[in-house]
Parts: sequence; C-alpha cells; structure tokens
Amino acid sequence: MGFDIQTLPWRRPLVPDWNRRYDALWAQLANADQVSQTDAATLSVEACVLANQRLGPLEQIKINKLAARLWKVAASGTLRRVRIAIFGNATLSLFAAHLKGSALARGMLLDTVESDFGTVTAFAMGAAQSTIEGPLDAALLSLDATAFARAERLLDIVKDAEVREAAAERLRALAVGVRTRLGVPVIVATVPAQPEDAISSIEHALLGSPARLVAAVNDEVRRGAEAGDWLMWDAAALAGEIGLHSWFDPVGRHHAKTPFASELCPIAADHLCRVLAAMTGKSGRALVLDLDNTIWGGVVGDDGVDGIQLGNGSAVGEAFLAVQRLALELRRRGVVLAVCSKNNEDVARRPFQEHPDMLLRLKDIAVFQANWVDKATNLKAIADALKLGIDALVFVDDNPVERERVRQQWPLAIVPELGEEPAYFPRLIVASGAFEHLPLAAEDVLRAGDYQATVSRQVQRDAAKDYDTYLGSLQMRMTITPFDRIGRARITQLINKSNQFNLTTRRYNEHDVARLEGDPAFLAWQVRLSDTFADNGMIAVVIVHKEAAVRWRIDTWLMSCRVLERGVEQTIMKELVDLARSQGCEELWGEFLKTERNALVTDFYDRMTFKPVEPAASNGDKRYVLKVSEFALLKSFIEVSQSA
Amino acid sequence: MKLMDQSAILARLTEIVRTLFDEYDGPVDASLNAKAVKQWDSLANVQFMVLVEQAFKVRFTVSEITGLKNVGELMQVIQKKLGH
Repeated sequence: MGFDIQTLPWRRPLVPDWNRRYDALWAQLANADQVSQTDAATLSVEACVLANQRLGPLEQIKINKLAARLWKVAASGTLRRVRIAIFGNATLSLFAAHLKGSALARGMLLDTVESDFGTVTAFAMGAAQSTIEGPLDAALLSLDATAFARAERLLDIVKDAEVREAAAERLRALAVGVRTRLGVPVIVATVPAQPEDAISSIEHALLGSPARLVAAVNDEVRRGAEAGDWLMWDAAALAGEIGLHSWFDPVGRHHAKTPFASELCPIAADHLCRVLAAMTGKSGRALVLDLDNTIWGGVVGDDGVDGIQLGNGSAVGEAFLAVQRLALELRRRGVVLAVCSKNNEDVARRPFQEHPDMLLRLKDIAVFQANWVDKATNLKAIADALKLGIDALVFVDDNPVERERVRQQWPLAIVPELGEEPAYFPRLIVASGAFEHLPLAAEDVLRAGDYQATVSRQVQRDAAKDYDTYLGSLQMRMTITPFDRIGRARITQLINKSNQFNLTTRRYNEHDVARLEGDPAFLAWQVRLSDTFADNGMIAVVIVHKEAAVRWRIDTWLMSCRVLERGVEQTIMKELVDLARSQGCEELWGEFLKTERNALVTDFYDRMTFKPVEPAASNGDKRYVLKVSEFALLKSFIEVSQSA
Repeated sequence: MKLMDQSAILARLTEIVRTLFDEYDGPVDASLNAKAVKQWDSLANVQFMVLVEQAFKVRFTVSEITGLKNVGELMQVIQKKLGH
C-alpha cells in the first residue's frame, strides 16, 4: 500500500449507489424555498455523507454544485453555515467552488465572496469601497510570491534586509487592513516556494534571493498567528506534502492565473476547510480507540497479554507503538482519549496495567468501554459520558465493518479509513485533519486531565434502534462445510487459539482433526462468512458427537470474535437443529465449561433457548438440553449455503 | 487509455459537459463550442480542461488550450495524445 494524499485516503471509498442517491437528493432540493425545516435536516446529513467520500472528479463537481444549492435552503439543519470573503492575487474562483463541496464533507455549509482580482491592496488600505454585502464569518488572504517580489542587487546586506522587511510589512498591512475593514478574523495563507526559484542549494543563504523573500513573508505569517493577530492556513506545508512540482502547474498559471494545479483543488480546499472546521468548533475533540489490531497487534482475549504484538523487537509492534505515541501527542493538545473495544473489560484493561511496552496507561483514558455491545451504542455512551456531541468523536478502528456500522448509525461522527497497514495508521489519522486546531490556550492543554475527573462510566445495553437494518445491509453469506483437508490447518489453529467465544475450550491437534473428517459418529463443521466488505474466512468451528440416534452432544462450539453480534451463532444453531430434526435426533445437549477467558459465552445456551439440566456446578460449568421439537426460530440475516 | 475510438472519446466528453454544464440541454457533438453554452465561461473552461486531462490521463500544452475552437478539435488533440 502506498500513500497518496491527493486521493484523500482517509475518506471512505465511494458507495456503489452514489449517483442514484445524489440524483435523489438533487431532485429534493430542486425547489429550495419549498424544503421544510425537518426535511432540510435530513437532506443536510445525506449531503454530508455523499460529500465525505473519495470522490472522482465528476462527483466532486456535483458535490460542489449541491453545496451551493444547499446554501440557499434557509434552514440548514445540522450544518454550520460559514461565509467567508476571499482575497487573492490569482484566480481563486475554482478553489472557491471546491471549498463549498469540501466544507460539506466536514459538516459545514460554506458560501464565498471573492474580491475583484487585483483590488486587495486598495481595499485593505481603505482606498476602495467594499463590494461585500451580508454577514461574514472570516476572510481568507491568499497571496503568491508575485505580490511581494522586488528584485534588487544580490549580496547587498542592507537591501536584503529592506526587501524582506518591506514584504513582511506589506503582508501585515494587508491582513490587518482586511480584518479592520471587515471586522472578522482573517486566515492568512503561507506562500509555497516556487521550484523555479531553487537555482542553487544556498538560496536561503543568498542575500537578495527570491527564496529569502518568500521565507520572510512566511515568517511574518507565523509571527502574526502566534500573536493572535490572525489565523494561519499553512498552504506551504501542504504544497510540501504533495510536492512542489505537482503543486505548481506552470501551464495553468500562464493560461488562467491559477495559483496551483487545478486538479489539486479537492485536497487544497479540504485542507483550508480543516481550519474553518477548527474555527467553528467542528474539529474532533475525542479520540476513540479500538484496541485489538488498532493499538496493539493481535487479540488480547485470545493471545493473552504476553502474546500481543507491541513495542520493541517486532516491526509490527513498533507500528502499533507509533499509534499510541500519536494518541499521547493528541492528548497533550487537549484531545480526550477513550477506548471502545469488544472485549471483557478486565481482559481489555490488562495490557494497560501489565504490558511493559504500553505507552498508553489507564490514567490516559477518560472513558473505557470494553464490552460486547454494538460499537455504535458504545460510541453514544462515550459521547454522553464526555458530554460531547457524537460529531466531536473520532472513531479509530481497524475493522471496516465496525467503521461502517458506526457511520450508518452516526453519519456525522468522524471515522477515518485506516487501510490495511498499521504503519500507516498514524499518518492517515493526522492527514484526515480530524484534529486540526487553532493556536492552543492554556485551558486546552489542561482539558484532557479535567475530563478524567468528571467522567462517570456508563454502559448502554439497549441495542441500537435499527441494528437489524444494518445487519440486513451487510448481505452476509455463510458457508458450512464438513471438515476437510483444505480447512484442516485453519481448523486446528482456531481450536487451539480461540479462548473467548469457546464453550468447552477442548484442544485437538491436527491429527485429531483429520480423524473427524468423514467420521459418521461426528458432525464436524467449518463455517465461513463473507459480507459486503470482506471475506472473513473461517470464523467458526462446531463439533457434534452423535452419541445416540436421538441424542447428540455439542462437543465444541467456538467462534472468532471478529463476527460477534451479527447473528452468526443463531444461524449456525438453526442449521444444526434443522439437520438434527431431519435425521431423527430428538435432543441436543450442550455444555459450558468455564475458563478464565470465556465469560463471554456464560449464557450462550440460554440465549440459544436451551434449558439447564441441573444447577451450575461449583466450578461454574453448566449443562443444557434442547428438545429439538421445541426450538424457537432465532432471527437471522445471513444467507446460508451448505455443502454436503 | 489507448485504443479509444472517436465515439468513446465523445461519450466521455459528453459526460463531462453534462456534469459541468448541467443547464445546457442541446446536443454534444464535434461542432459544440463554448459560445453555445451559457455556463461555459473562461473559469468553467479551466475546470473543463482539467476534467478532460483527468479523464483521459493526458496533459495539454498552453498553445493547445488556447488554440482549440470546438469539441471536434479537442477530440483530435486527445486522439493524437493517446497515440492514434
């Protein structure tokens, strides 16, 4: 996997029915003045969802138009309306059009007013009348090097200082002038250095060079931002990230006076919208972290504290350390940290307490939600505990299914894509701009600690209202196959590795597994699951001993925790019962053998409508029976195919 | 992007024209030019050319951009660049 920031890789891929949904939305907005306030709220959210995807060039154009139309709908629902004036000495209209679409992706509705080309100075100095009508929230001042260029003799120390001072003064005068005349905060863009100015390696040490002039301007932008005179958009930093040769397009420059390559409008506009989002309080305030395979490698419930990959000694472990390092850096800036993990709470907490390489400790985590409840529900609990809106949460989870689940339930939560490679997780989180911020104040730096004290942990057990709809949308397909040679290695691995969703924790070696292939006294199933996102591969193993024709005993039932809460066990049980019934079996017996790690399935057979045959043994073991004829059908959203 | 015939090129250009100039409902053919389309001003032209560059993965020179008279000429330039 590579990393190309131009594709906005932190955004979700385009949904397959994007164009259909777009057309539907566009039609509903056809008559702006007839949209009711309630409709506007719903339509706004849909617009955000469509905008916040990895758009192709044509989709981007459509979203820009949609945003412009949405602005005209007076009641904008949940979207924050922002209106900015744009001052520049190049053609910024195209950029402005993209700003509207990019703002939409970040939960804002943006309108822009551009100053006439070349009138910046006159306006700022009070010589020209303002042509800007209506309220404003901010102004952007985006100038390129030609606004400051003044060629003087090289190597003249006095001239060099004069020219640089004059450039800085000019920048300051323009920024302060705009601010004074409009009475709104000014965002000043830094100036990227032209590749054509890089004649030698010593440009910055060459008195009177163009590079020194640009540097002087940028220094002044930084100074003013630090002093609180204006806000700063670091266009130069973005140009550096992209590469100056891509950023500057001399053809477009000569042809249309565009300040940078026009195909970069989406990333450039998004980058500025980060600053607008921070200005209007739309940035992420809390980082909600999944645990397994997100901040450490492996599954702590299965691998144990000693078995997870973290830290020195392993390349993968180093990558996860980098994720934790980023979390701590964000915390330093006032971002609150929370955990949202499908785990037993004590198991999930253990690495924080015991693993020597963990950088994150329990004291760093304001809310710790480790349970088996749906993550969308847990996210709401975290938001409530922190007294934050759900759109202030940034949910970081390596599992695309969990991300999609959260997006469906909370379309305005910030959920960056993470890709397949943990080494890129920190880069994607940062590039997403979710944590863009303005100059920090002392209270920001203290914030993370404050939350710690006030948060009361709460768990919401009520299942999300439309969880069934979600499960349906996953289009899950299950394949049940008897044990065979191909599956043997993976079956053995699951039998010996699964600890949490494992009713009996009986371990069998590859030889044992091979003997079960084709043994008529046993029913031995390997179960695979795929959905719209991925082929999850083998996710469950069930071994049933046909002790007698009318009585079967479930010897082993285990599942991967990746597919919990999706109705997998209900579906397998239905298939098992159907088969038992057709073969004349009357009773299914099951047992729960308690271990340190399988608390998750304590009530498994109760949920499967089995009846306990005796009170639990003193060691916690429980035995159950199901009269096959009394089996009540369990709800399932999975299409099953059985192969002999 | 090789081996595109005239009609395939026109089809893709049509998609761009329809998206960018969504208020224009006249025919899109080789004779179409900016004058016939109200939304096709100089700014839109910049955007149009960028979209064409992205769609065909080609780059235009300054003289090509300034010299084009209509969609037909644009199709010829694209074909040339795609190596026909």
